[in-house]
Amino acid sequence: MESDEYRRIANKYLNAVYKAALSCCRNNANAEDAAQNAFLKLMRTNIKFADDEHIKRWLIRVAVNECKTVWRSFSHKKVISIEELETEPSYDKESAEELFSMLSKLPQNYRAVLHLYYYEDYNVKEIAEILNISETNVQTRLMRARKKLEEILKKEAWL
Amino acid sequence: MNTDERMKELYAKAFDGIHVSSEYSRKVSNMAETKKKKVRTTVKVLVAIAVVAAFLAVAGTAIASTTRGVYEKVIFNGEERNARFCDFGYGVREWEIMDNGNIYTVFIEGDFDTEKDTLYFVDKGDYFLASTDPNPTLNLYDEIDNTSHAKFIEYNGETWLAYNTDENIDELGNSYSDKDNFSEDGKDGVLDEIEYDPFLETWTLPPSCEIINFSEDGKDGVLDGKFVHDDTTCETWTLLPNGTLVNTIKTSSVPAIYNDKMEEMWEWLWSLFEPSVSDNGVQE
Repeated sequence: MESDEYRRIANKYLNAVYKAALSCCRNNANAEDAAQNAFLKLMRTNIKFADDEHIKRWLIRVAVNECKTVWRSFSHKKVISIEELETEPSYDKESAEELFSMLSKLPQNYRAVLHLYYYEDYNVKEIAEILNISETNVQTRLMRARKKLEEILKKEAWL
Repeated sequence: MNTDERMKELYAKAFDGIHVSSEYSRKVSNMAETKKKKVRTTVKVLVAIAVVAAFLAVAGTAIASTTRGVYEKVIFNGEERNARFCDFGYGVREWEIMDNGNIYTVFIEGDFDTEKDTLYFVDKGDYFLASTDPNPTLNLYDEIDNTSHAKFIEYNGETWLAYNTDENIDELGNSYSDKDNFSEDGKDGVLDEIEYDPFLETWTLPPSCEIINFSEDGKDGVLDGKFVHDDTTCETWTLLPNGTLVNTIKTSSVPAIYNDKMEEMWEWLWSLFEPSVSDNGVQE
């Protein structure tokens, strides 16, 4: 990808890819790594993208895969420090931090699906394509995630 | 406001205020320029061809830098790819090889000198392994089975053999869902409630003695083919043709932990029927 085009895409989608990664990784350092690696791969890929939206979905998918790869690696499990886990993103408001912390309590399977559905406004079919899972699986996760989130919110007295 | 609207509002409140730092944004935006300016000091490493048992041996000539986290060119499966060598300094090292936006994660076993030693890239099914040994093993996984789907976990003070029910990541980094059959109830193919999340991964707990019906296909709740039953631990597992133990679907069960408390529960239950004694010692 040409430098100018790459920069345009980075400026347009970095925040969205980072947020999707943050939703999946739960901590700032890993989310930044995942998003950066996704853009690094974009820079070097030969894939012919149909449009910007196609690029965005591809970036999110790679970033989510990156998050999973990081957490699956032996090395990461062995070397991750408390400080790294506690690295927080920057929030505009304190309440946003509390809400994010609440959403982070959801299982990994649910977080990415919820984020893509409620924040990125993707529909079930699109999420299934991005995460490479079945539509039924997306629907099931959405349903259970909502239920689980409700439990968490009630427990934490948000509802 | 319905549930979906409330959820959208909640997500907007949680994420609208989060932004990447300007420094990070600049760093990512400028990566294209950095790539052009990068001067590489590379060393050629001859990687020999190895065919190990039924595993595919992948070989090539790699030009690699030992600098951690720097992507360099390697020849992998006969084609040029970008790879990043990660040395974590305690015997665990990885070689990440990128391919069309996806990634091969290569676990590296043993010590070697990238300038002198011959490395064997061996397909271990779920991951590649690089080693100076033409027939390497990776005990952490291999001691359980030849996939990376199982591990021992600690749950409520007990050790369990558990299986990963998250989507799998294939050797290219794609997730795929051949685990659609994982379910406690055998109905929808998705893990239901019993979960454990040690490293942001989801694992099924093993079945208990109470679990009576198993199925490999998730349809009828009855064991179809071979199975393994351990009388000592009361664990029952399905055995796939390739010898791995996976996909235990229970259709009728009481949680395993329940068993351990049966004695206690019965005592409590019987105590309900025992005649109570009043404060002054008179049986009522």
